[in-house]
Amino acid sequence: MFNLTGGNAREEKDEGMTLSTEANQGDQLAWWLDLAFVLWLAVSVTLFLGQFWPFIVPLLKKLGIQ
Amino acid sequence: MIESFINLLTGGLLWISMVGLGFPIVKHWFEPLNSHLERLVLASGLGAGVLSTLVMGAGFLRLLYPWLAWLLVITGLVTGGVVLRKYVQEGWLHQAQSQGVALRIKLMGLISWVLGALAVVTLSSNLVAALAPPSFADALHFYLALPKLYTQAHRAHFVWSRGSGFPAATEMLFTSGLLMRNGIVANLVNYFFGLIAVGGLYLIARRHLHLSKTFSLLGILLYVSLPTVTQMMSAAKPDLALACYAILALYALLTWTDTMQWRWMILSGVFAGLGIGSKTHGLFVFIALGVCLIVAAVMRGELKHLRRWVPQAVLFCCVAILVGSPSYIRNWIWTGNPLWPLMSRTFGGCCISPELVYMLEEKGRWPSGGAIIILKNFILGPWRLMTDVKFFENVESVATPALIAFLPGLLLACDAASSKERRSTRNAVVLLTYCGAFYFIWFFNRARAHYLDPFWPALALLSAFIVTKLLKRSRLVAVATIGTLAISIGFGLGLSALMNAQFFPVVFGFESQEAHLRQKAWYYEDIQYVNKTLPPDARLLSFPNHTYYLDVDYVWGSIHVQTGLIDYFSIHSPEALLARWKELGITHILWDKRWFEGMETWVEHYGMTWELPEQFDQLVRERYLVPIYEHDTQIPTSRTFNTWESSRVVLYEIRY
Repeated sequence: MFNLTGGNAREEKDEGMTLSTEANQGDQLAWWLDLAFVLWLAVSVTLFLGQFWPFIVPLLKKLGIQ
Repeated sequence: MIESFINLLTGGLLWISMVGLGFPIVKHWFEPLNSHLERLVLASGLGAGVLSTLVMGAGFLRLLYPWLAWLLVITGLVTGGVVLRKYVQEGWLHQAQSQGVALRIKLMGLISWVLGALAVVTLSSNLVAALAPPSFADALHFYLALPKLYTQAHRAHFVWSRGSGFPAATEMLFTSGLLMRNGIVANLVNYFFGLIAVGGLYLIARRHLHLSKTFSLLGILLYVSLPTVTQMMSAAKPDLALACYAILALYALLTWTDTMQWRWMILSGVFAGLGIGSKTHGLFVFIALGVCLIVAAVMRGELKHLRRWVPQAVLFCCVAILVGSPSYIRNWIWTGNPLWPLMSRTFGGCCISPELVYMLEEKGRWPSGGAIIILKNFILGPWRLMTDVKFFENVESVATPALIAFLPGLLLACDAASSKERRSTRNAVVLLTYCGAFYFIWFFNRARAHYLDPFWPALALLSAFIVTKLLKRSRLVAVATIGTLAISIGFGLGLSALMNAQFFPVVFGFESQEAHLRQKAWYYEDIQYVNKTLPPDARLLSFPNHTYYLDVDYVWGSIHVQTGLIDYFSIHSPEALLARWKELGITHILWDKRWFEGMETWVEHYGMTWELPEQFDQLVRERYLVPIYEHDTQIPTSRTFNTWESSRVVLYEIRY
């Protein structure tokens, strides 16, 4: 009975560690997904604004900024 | 300034009468509703449909007179007043306010106030732009030119123009505006549709996506900050009406998925039908809604209850086709082809030259804009709509990053825990289905950006929904999301302000209408010369298409518009051309180098041959055509950025 209880305790401990490791992996995946999404947003916004650069340059020159 | 005020007052009366015409329907079939906003939005959409149908009927009965337009307005005001009185008597108004879901926006914190204020400022500046005299090219070309001809003849009749076959539900409201006062009232009709669309967005955001007031306002702001919305709200074009009907049809469809009540399915069909009756692209909306219907039913598990679901879906289709049919029946009566001038090979019919049929059907794509239909462009299309403004059209058609770039965020947002969240996610998937289906049909038909107008409102709502989920993720994502929103909205509002600024001087009386139109409206100076010079019995053949400001009797000359009245391809000598002109009673020709060269480009594009340029030159050399006016005109290619193209315009008198 004692051994059985101990065995159960070990099993519970192992399960807890497994869950904890899975949670860590989940966090890491979420972190990488977040980073990828932020980079995607940065590229999108940069290219969106970049297409108007030919319009902006003459405007800046007109205003004496460049 | 006083003039602008009177125009606004007239437009306002037209708006209120539309709401009044819709109120009895809402009162009898759709109560109890949740809020006054819901009542107002549904009544407005239905009332616009009722008024357009009545004006169309009046057009067929030869009753297009100002008194009729005013009679309909007074009828709308009276019915609206009677129903409003009943509402007050029955305590609806009091009840809704006591439930705390009234129209008024309460104190919602600083962000809501800022978002709301930005939306109000943008909508107000769009209103000012709508109060300027019409100068949008397509309005001068079709959407006001044809209603003006109808009002002059006091009836709706076939005109030798492609525009004659366009679905006319919204065009009839423009006709009403012209009968009541002028083209500015017609502009205001379109502005009205913009407001209803915004109301519909708010309703979907609150009821079906369960967004807070702040995020609902964000969805509205993402939509109204689109340059294309700014442009459409101030121009008499049916695109915004279609967008409005599409969003109302989606609202009714989503409400049906919640309640499974027949009346909401019928209402969705009515709005889809009004969309079909406003623009041919309404058929795309109708099909996309059909796909949504299937997806919504699958997600609800309704496919197990086919006996309940299928009759309602069939009813949706029947109602939509019935409500949308008047314009197509009109086409069938006029020409024998319900979709005239499209699909003439399938349906047959008259009043279109074989060459134009070839251009419309054989090659599939007109040379004036739109992306080439290949798989690569289809896949990269959304990306290019955002990052390559010239690919699909022009700067007014650009999609700000918040509308496209947030879409992958939907995958990060699938964390629906509660049943309410699951329901809102399910509705977001229905919106995504609508966007996807519409994009698919749009791309494989004719991928020009301004045909996407019914697509943007749903996408703006989706973006607001995704933002609520993104802000719950890491701080990094939250900061990037807010930055993208700020850039998107800032850019959109800046461009909108630039687009609207050009109209402020004329609306507030710092610039005369004449001076404004000389700068902004195509061929305005030349057309004014024609109006002043030509005798009353003259008949003009106009190669410039933008004829709204012409007051003389005229027919269109260019192959872009006229559909075979003068079939240039079957005329093989200058004498035959002259004889055809004489047969039609044409006395003068307004010739324009730019459109003439444009026609030649078209003929080359389609690999055809014609002899018109040589025939025309010969008639000029032999003095059958005598120039009485020559002018180097400047055609505004962009009103906002003041870019021009020069062209030579000549008025010829024909000596038979």
